[in-house]
Amino acid sequence: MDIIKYSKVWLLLALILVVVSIGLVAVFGLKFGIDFTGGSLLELDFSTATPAVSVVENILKPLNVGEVSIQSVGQSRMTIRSTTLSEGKHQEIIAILKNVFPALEEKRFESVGPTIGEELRKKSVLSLVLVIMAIIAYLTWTFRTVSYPVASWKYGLAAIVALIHDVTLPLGIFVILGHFFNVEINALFVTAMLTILGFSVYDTIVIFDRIRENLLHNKNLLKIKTGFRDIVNNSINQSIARSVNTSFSAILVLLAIFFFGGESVKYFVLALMLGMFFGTYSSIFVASSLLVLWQKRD
Amino acid sequence: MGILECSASMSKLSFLKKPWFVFLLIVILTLIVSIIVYPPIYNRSIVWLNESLLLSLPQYNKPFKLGLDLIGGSELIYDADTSKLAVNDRAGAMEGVRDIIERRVNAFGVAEPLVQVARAGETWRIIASLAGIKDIDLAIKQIGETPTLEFREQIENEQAKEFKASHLLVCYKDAVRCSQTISKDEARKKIDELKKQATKENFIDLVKKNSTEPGAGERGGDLGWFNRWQMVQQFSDAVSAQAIGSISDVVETEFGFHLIYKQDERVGYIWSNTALSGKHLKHVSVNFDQTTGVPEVVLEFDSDGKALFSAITEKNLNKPVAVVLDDFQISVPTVRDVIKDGKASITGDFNIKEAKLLAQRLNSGALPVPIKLVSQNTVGPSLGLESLQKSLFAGVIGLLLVSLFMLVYYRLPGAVSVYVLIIYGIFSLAIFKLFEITLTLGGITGFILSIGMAVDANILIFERLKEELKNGKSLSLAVEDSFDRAWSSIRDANVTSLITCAILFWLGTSIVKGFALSLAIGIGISLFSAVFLTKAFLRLLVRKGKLGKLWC
Repeated sequence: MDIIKYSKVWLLLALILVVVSIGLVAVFGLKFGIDFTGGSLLELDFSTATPAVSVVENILKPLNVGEVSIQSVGQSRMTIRSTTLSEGKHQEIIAILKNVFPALEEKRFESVGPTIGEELRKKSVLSLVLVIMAIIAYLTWTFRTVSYPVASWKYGLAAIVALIHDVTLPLGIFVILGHFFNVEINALFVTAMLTILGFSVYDTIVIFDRIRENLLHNKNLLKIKTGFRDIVNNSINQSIARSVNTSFSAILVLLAIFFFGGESVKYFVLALMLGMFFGTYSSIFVASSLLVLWQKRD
Repeated sequence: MGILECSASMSKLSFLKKPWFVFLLIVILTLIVSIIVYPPIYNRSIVWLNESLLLSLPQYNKPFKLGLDLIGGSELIYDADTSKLAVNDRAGAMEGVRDIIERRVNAFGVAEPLVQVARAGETWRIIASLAGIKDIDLAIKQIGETPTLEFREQIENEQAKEFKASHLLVCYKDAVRCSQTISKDEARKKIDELKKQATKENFIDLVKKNSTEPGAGERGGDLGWFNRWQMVQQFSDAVSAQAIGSISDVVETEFGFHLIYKQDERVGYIWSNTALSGKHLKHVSVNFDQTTGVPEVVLEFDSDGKALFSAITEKNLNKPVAVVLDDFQISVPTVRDVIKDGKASITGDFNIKEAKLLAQRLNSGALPVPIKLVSQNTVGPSLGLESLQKSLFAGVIGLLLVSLFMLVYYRLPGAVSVYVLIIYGIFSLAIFKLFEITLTLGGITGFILSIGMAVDANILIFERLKEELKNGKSLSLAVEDSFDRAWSSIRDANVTSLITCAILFWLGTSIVKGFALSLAIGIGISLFSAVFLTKAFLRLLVRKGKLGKLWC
């Protein structure tokens, strides 16, 4: 399979998707969960059919809890989102709702003060930066023996570009999900992204490792103009089965959780799956293509 | 490789390298670990063994430690206002607050409460994890109060009177804790008889011969000193009413019939709050006695406190006084002098550590550290159970899917990897159990994900194996070489994953931490299982296979 032949196509496709995703973020904004914004989330189970949202809104009006966003979930559940509630207010809401709906059960309650939300935002950004820096450092060190024909730091850079692709595309998809299905971006999403960074780099390294090995064993090939390109292409072909199989098995497992697992991790797992899929794509089609492109230019 | 193996088989310990031995080792290890993970089968066989051979081998009953989002419970985060404290005092004060909150939380019967001090930049925090708590509303109210420090003195109290007595018990068939088979009437007759015979002098003998209380034979039924709350009401009423030196009439309690010989009585005391409390404490510190070097805790009171303390010490000279924090007596020193300068040293059996701890606790009672609830995460128990069941189910399905895929795509080596995967799963779970790692929803997700990723190392090796075989190498050589060559990729790649896990652990809330930890453990064990186990099994197969030849 000659993958490098169409390297320009792959790179263009990747670029378009990244731009579209960023565009989506700009237009629709990110729907942050209370982890980041602060606020309260109350999840209730009515045992019978959920009452209309307006009914619940009216019941809560006299309590003066400020702006609330109420949503029906499934057949018998409802989530109520608001600004940070004190415990007192929380109990008042439960009491007044139980008066009207005696079979009401409180599934869970989460309340995050604004300071914690801000902290999480800072920490998330910081950890993303840290992970990327750590990866660049590690890659530069690992590939220090292969400075020819492409400088060793370029391997790191190619990997990073692939990573940006891997993280931006799921983000874009989540913007759409957030806009139409109210899916939130919370601490778990950040966790998924960080995990993907680790995994995708793993994937890319396997291919780069091959390239390195093949470079060492085929130094004479480099004398030809297309030498490097051919080596890279061969390396990809040698590794493609492994890359695809690995992410396939991981995605299989995640699919099981997505369909059968708990509610709270559903979208976390979705983010992981998307990340893995794009991660494999970028390792095979994007990272190596970049290397070849840079080498041609030099 | 071949040469090494040759020389190994020449030495006496060569069997250690033989695949058979390694395989056996792995099987035994796996069995042991399986028992750790799922004890019921082992326990059942132990029970059977115990019964048939009359042994008493122990059973193994340790459960998994489950997190809040699986058992249900609450995680509360409080911000502490340390602005009024000197910077040096803050850490100590927070430790004190932590102790108090933990004690308050314990009162709610939470299975394993976890209260921690945390710091986010300048802000000090308390994080309380209460698994399985039923009444979170009440808990929050309780926890929110600032700790109270009180000083108590003993005052005489009629109700607290103490008695010294011995008794003779004749119990009957249905009495509480009775192993006798005589009827109630028979017992009554017997004790009436004994009452007629009983005198001060022969009481002990009668008890030794007739009392059905276990140990009465040796102790003579002596109960020592007790107060009325330590015995059942009928017994206490009787003994308090009777004269000293007398033997009571027959007393009937739930334990049977008693004859009581009252030897003595004395005044009883109860603890009563004085007007002195934590709000009068100015400062608490730890000193060392000049001469003996023994550590002592020094209390310094403000002017009101000084006066109160002076009065209390005068009133209670040579008597004990209790220092009570949140209704818990932390120290009961005996007053030696009248103290007028508002400074008191408490000496006792403490070492330095205990003295410091006491000072911390007193300081936190003295210096109020207001705490405010800033974050709460409560999961109802039904949701918790639901999450747990769903996750386990998903895990099993995931494992099945991956196994199927590996079998179909890689055939025999695939079967090996499935076997290795199962062992890997069991080992991981054992580690979670043995190290008492709390399993949260995130943790289970991380574990299931690591199953998917554990296959990866195997895939790397198998792809290499295919390649080597294509290149024409013999089966056994190919097996060895593919491991060697795949290893550098496996190693490099897993390091980056571990770095990510470390950063995630730092970032996170408890669900994220659980995920990161599971993933890291998973990666570690999968490395071990892929490299060591898969290699061992494949080697074994090579020897057994058609292409296997003897080497030396």
